Amino acid sequence: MGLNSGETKHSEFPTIIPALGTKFDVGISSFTITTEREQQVNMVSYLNVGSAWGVATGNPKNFNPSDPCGTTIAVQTGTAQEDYAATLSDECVAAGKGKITVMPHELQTDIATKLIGGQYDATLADSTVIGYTSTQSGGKIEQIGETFESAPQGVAIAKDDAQLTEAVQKAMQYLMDNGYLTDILATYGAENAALTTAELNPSVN
Amino acid sequence: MHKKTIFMMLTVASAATALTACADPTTTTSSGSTTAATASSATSYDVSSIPTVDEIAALVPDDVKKRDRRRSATTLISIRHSHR
Repeated sequence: MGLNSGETKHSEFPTIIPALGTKFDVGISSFTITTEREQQVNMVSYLNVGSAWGVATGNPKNFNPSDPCGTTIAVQTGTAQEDYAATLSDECVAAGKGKITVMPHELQTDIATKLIGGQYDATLADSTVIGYTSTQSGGKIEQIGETFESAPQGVAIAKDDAQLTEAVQKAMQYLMDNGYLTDILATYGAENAALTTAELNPSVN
Repeated sequence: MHKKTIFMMLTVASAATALTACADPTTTTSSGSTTAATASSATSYDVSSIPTVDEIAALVPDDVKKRDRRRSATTLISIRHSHR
């Protein structure tokens, strides 16, 4: 975009959108695109992120993502996946199967270590987290099964900043069209999350 | 610490991709201290290899051009994606 520098400030998640157009030009913080957010700000899509299962490479515990009942899985505390795992476990019990033992951890690194060490059957996390964990583990962890419950994420720009919105959208589309977005994400094992169209305020449920 | 590392990788990637051509991204905490984004142990992508596109640069609003710096915001709450 021809600027000589960029500055990224870390702010509490809920404070970012209200500060767009004043304190910040853009917000980039895993913003899932929702109709509510699109009413507040412009959203330019660039990622599609869902949930995914990760196992030790080769799946030595024979974890079946289609039937996780009776297994021990690790999740990060406070994640959507922690709630989802609890729901899955309830469904297992209701179906007369074994419950899922859910082991919450603060750090995904701790989960990775224990997963590789054989303490857990699997981990459940965002698809990008699984990809990055796999990369960081040197291939000792891999995703198993398909990504599910995917949703687009976007860059947020102030609603009244049409010019910057267009610049961001075109810049993002350029990165997509020329393979840069995929290359960048591949550095972090997240290349599968790349979208191919930088859509402004896409229609979402 | 690792939460920061993990999140940083997506943040840096996202920030880099969103507006590119910002060859020297830095991070500033809400308390004001600034550190190089590359202080993270995460592998990073060299965005300086991405060329500036003049027609896109021309779209950047004048106030941002005058500042010559794009200000973006993210959070270190982590990659847990409670951000949904």
